[in-house]
Amino acid sequence: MLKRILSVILMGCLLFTLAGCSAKAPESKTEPVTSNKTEPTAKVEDKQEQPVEKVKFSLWHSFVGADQRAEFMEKRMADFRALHPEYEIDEQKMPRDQYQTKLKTEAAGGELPEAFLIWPNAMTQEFASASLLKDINGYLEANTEWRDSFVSRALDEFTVDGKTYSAGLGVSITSIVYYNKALFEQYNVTYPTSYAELLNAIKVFKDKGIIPIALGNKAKWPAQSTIFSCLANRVTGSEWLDRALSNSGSKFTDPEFIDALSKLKELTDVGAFNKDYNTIDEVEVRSYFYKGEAAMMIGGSWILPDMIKNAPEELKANIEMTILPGFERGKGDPNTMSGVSSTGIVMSAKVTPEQQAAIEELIHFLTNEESQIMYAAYNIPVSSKTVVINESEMDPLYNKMLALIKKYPLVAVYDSAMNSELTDIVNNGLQGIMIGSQTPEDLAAELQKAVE
Amino acid sequence: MKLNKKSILRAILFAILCIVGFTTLYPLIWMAYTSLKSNPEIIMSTFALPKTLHFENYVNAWKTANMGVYFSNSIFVCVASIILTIMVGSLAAFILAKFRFKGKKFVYSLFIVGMLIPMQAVLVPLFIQMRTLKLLDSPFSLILSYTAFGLTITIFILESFIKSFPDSIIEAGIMDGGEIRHIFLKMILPMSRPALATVIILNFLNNWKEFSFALIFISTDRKKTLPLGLYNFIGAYSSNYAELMAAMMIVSVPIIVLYLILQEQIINGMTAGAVKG
Amino acid sequence: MDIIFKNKRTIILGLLPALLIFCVIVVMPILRSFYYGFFQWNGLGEPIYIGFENFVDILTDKVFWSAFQNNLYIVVASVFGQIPIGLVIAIVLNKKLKSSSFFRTIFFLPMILSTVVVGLLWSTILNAQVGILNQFLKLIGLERLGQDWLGNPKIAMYTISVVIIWQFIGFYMIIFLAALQNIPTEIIEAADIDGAGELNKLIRITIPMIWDSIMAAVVLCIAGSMRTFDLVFVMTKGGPAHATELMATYMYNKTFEVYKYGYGSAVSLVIFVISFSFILISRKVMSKPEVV
Repeated sequence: MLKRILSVILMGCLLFTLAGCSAKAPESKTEPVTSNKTEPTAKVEDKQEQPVEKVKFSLWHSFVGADQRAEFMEKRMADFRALHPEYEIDEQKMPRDQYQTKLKTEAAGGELPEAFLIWPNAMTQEFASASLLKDINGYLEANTEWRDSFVSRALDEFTVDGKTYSAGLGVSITSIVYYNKALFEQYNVTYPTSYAELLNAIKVFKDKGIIPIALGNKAKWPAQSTIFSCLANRVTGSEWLDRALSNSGSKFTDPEFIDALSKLKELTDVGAFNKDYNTIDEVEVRSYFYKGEAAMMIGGSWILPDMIKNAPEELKANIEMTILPGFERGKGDPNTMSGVSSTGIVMSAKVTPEQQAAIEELIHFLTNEESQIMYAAYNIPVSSKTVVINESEMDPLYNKMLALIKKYPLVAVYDSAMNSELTDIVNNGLQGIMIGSQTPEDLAAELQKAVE
Repeated sequence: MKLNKKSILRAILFAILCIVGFTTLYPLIWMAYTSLKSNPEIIMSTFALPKTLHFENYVNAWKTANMGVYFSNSIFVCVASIILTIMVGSLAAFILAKFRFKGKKFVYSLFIVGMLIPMQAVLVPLFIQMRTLKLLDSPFSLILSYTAFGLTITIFILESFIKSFPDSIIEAGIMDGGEIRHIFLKMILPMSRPALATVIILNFLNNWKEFSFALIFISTDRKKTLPLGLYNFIGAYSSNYAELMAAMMIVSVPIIVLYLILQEQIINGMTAGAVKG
Repeated sequence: MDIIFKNKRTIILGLLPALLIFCVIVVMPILRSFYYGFFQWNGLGEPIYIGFENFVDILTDKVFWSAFQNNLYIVVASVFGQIPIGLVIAIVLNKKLKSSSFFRTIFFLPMILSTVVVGLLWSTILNAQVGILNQFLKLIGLERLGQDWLGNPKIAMYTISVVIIWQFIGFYMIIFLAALQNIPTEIIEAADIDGAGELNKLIRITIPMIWDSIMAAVVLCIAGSMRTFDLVFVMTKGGPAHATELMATYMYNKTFEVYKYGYGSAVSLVIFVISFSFILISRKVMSKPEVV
């Protein structure tokens, strides 16, 4: 026994020595950043000696599986390769969670691929502020027509301190209300125009054994991204969130925010959601809607390709799309929905000039007019305001979404406005409020504390 | 009377075994018939039997998960790391079980260390380590990591097994003029057959399913292992469950076969390995 | 004999290969991970040395301590669930019969199947809206007992513990099956002649004879339970609202989701220390088997 205790103490000592050393040894501290510097320079020399060699770079992204984005990417990358035989691209694709793990592990180890997929806002900010990315400002300046074709958030959400790092591969609307017209007619309900009417509609469906709103919140972000972002905006208005986050004039403990949280709680308590909303994910929940067991489903534009492919035909004819109703005494514009730019390709700060040119070419290629038309062909909302989509060729559901986009401006999604830590608090906090383990006041105070 | 009571007890025991057995067998059955359904069928009803049999799921799965290439990689990495683990681990277990020396408890505790930290916490340091060893993107990065992380359980199970061999058997072997390495190879290893079979199963299972290390270390497509291929079916916004199940059926076959062979070894070891000193 | 069992050359040559591989691949990276625990680092930029600040924060981190408590449930459920059940099954199936060979195979299946499949299946069975378990309870008139098995924060942890026990029975079964081969048949036969009952044989012969293996299994069990990750990650993602958060899922979340790599590393060091102390305690408690 004594020896075992001794061995623990020994281990402990080792640790403390390590910790002690680190204070005195700056070279080991910076290691993750410096250790890799030799490699890119070696590559530059390579290029200068043999100018005929192909420009090689690796590209990592998460477009795999049955997603239509995966099909888009596969097709578009084949086109790009055919167009540019002088580039040699090592493409690595893996699912989202695994992609994040691999990317962040290698970033922590001081290695990054030359080109990779990044999420707008929080993730872009983290990578940019660690000086890991190279901006495309020069390229945007040189190609103003392309630059000006974008809806503003496709570039803005990849911009940190005046430097733009990417352009969004489309846009994601996060809070479309899909509803089953047949069920509404069957039970004599009209789509609500106010919060009171919404509560009433919920009650009617609930009494008839129909799920009023299908929700799959296992992953924690759906309630925040698809419901609460828009709901809170209806109550507080857009400026309030900006002020609260920048700590200038508004606080999360303000009554309007607590009111918004309480509304989500009320919706849960009156039974607006399926019983298993905490334990199924955002994909599984769709089956309730597809089977006609749910009257409404609030979700993003990313559901659309799946819906068009997998929902039964007779149901599809009954699907309508709209937005959350306005709220009585709400400070927000009732004619908005929440949205965010889709992911985009960025390049590592360590690229050679040749690689930079090639990757900029790729970013351009994946967001040019031809690509935008292909987004539409795969039922993804476009990030261009100039592209013309031939509606007669499109699925009727896609056209319904286009109508929404034309009619309603987008407001910020909470997780796009917040950093990852605040997002984590909100996502878990909303779950806590819905199951009653946390009060709206508690969550408001916790958020306010984190902001300060 | 006594016999009667015993047979009732047996019947009850058998019934319990059957119930538990059903719950453990059902997932395999479910996987088997789900792998023959279409995706919309799976979405609409998780447990229903397939209406038509979609055997093409298997063909597509084989292609999508790039199994032609990944299968042989997985076999190579698993077999190599198990051979290494058994060689190195059984030797260390023998020393720890039967020899007397200072610091033995420290060495034993050191091997526990490998189990006490979540894998996810060592990904970054291990990545850096592999880069230093210049092993990134090489199958040896996987073979070495699987061996090292497999050593803990190997040494644990083998040590506790060898420890219960009576010293007198080894002493008798030495009296007969055997060298220690002969005793290890000709006596200890054959006698440890049940434990060796167990360790091989457990390590093979871990290595065959291991995902994180393979994800981080290997970048070249022709060096990847099966678990990486399996994730090609899981998209962010919709997953291809039908093909995923088909792929998992294919991937499960080698482990089930290996288990069927080795579990007989565990039991038969009783007679075959009982070398009387 | 001592000369042989104390031969330094044999000892060093025998341990060296294992120690070398183990130290380079396991121990060094773990120490490096601990070292990051003393930094404020988002995993991307420059790490800043902050001494014990992360550890002080952990002491007052409510979520961490509720995760710790959840891990305790799993440790208790595993040590007192998996090990006895695995042992009993191993003893029952330790026969060369066709049927025992069949059961040995199917009890091991949950270990073989991918966690993705196991998680998906159990989530569907335990689902509150359409789950088979609730429908079954309704069918036999016990609708009152129906629950939101994974969504109700008060019971989610118990549900998870049951699934974990179910998944790992096979693991302990085969460890004990191997250990049982070490019991000479003569001893059991002698006991049979004496007319000893099954329970008597179990307590007086079987358990003491494989005590070393039971101790090893307990260590494996504690260590495994303290770093459980996969099944919870697939089934609940630690939710709802951290109700099933475990130390390892919490650490993963901090490290890879919210850019607090240093804090995540500090959490893993705390997991290490807690697990190690539990193992020391367990070995202390178990070091003298009661031979009645």
